[in-house]
Amino acid sequence: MNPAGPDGAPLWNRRQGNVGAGRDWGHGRETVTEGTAAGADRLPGPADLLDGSGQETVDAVVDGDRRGPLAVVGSPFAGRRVVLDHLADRLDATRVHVGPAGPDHGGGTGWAEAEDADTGVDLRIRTGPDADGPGRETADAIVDGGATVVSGCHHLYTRRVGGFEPLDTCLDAVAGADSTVVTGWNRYAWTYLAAVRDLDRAVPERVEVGPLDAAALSELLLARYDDIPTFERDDDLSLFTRRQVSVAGVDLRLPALDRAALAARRGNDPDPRDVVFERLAAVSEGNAGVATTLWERARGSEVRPGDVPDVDQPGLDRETAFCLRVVLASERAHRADLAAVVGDDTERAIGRLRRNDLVTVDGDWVALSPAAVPTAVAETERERIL
Amino acid sequence: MSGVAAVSGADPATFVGVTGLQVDLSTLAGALAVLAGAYVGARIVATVLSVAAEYSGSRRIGIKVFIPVAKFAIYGTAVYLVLGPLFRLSATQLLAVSGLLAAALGFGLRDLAAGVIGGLVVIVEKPYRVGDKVRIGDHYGEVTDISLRATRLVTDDDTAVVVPNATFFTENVANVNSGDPEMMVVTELAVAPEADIERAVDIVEDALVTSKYVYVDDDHPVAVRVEDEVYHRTVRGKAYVADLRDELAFSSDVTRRALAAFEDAGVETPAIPDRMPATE
Repeated sequence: MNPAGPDGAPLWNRRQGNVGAGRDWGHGRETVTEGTAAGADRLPGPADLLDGSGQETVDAVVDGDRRGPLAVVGSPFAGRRVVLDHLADRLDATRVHVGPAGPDHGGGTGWAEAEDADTGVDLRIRTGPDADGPGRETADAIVDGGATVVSGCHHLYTRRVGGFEPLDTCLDAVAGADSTVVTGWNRYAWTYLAAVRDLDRAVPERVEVGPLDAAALSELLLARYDDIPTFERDDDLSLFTRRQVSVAGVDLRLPALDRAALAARRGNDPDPRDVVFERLAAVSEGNAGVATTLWERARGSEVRPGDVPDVDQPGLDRETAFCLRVVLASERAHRADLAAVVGDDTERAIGRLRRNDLVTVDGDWVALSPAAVPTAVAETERERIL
Repeated sequence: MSGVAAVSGADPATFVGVTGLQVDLSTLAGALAVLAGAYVGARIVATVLSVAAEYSGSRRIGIKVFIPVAKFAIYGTAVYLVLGPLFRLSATQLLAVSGLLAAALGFGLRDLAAGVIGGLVVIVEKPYRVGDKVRIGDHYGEVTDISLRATRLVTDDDTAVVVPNATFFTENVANVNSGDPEMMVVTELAVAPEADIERAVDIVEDALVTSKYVYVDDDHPVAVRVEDEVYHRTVRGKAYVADLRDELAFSSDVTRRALAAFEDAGVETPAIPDRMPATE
């Protein structure tokens, strides 16, 4: 269901996407080569980021047909916050954010940044090595009454012995809550916790954020600028890309024929723009934040399909890949927390990840780079790290 | 006798003959070339498949299963190519040669024949494949090669063990992963009878599921069991590793972190009893 606004127009119009209007469409540390931001009001809305059943679930929660608890699950930078903010707004809910202390890493893509911004948050609960009872604080916020939207729930656990206690405290509160509770989770943390802590039973109602298809990405990204770049054919473009395929529950990145590239090579496709965005969607797996970062890197006066980089696979060793998986699942972590999980090799692993541009390091804080998400997923799933 | 006879007055290149069987230098050279080609071909195919298997991660064992099949096919073809032109025998001659072959197998080549037949059974019946972890008799390790005569294992101590394929007929074979890359690893920790057993169970479970090697899904669950022994209690944690080669690393990782957590949480480990039970 797509509810109508006062003027009768659907509230979730893909062209409007006004949930995040007015927020910074920043690009973090990525360099904008040229062009001006024209479509600052063209931010993705929940309708862009959720599929049909996801929208129906969210509508049902907003309308009170379902009281939850509801989990909003998405990859890093995919735009969980847009959906959570929408729900908080519609439910008139208390907005709680659980996140690590320390400086914002600034490596995000504005609206799709890791959920560290304080804007619109009623209560921010800090995690990290010096944090004092984040699970208890979160539980108190939930049981205090009224609808509650909690983002950053993947920061409520640490992957070590005894590291699940804050999560268990919070889930007990969620289970006992009388009012609607919406929780936001990193997709990879969710997968891990569903496997080892039965999280999907504690929070059975779930919506997935993304992915966006090539057309939606094209509309989203090009609406930002007055000057649209020229799209040129790239005859040397590889005919093969990699797509994620789930086989018997295992996600594999298998080589796949890039039909857009094939059509372009045959000269059947008159518009190389489609090739660029098909490739962007394939590489980013429809992750809006990742696609935005890759687009900013590729953008110039001319854009060719080959300007969109393929997924890099640096061939990390097991310890480094495990460290990367922990960062992928937390999006940002303190060195001390990483050391408690990864062990003695932490500093060397962080060094290797930083040299491969997979993470950024700011003091004691290690953050995932948006453009590194496809590589992080490919590398860690090749090693079958949970 | 129509058996082996020196050939006089024949082509000088022909130095030995069986009636219906002509062996000259060119035939011998051809046979050697075929066998050498088969050897090189088998090595190349095995190497290519091994490299592809190692690169493919979880599908490693599924690819390696083709190595012995390919080797059997290559060597079988080579033997056919060598012997086919040599033995153009009549029924009587075939009977005579069969008798000779049977005698040879019975007296001298019995073990070799049993090994080859065992190898064929291993290929067809698949009690284990290249890449599996198996226990055959007293030997436990990863199967690295299944050849015509024997199966090669590499133990956890990096010792190569060659087990004749015929052993398959006489020994029990335990396969811990049955062709899957995952395998269950059982980790045992002992705690004192007076220790907080619930806390110990929680710690062991946490140590299992937080390991970098663990693999958990609905088909590969984690379980922790407690057993009461005479002087202690055993907390037995069972979980799967994503890659069977991580068996020992996983077990060590879980044990090390669980023991550290026992100490932090004050979970006592058993002390040596003052008096050991009398042995018969």
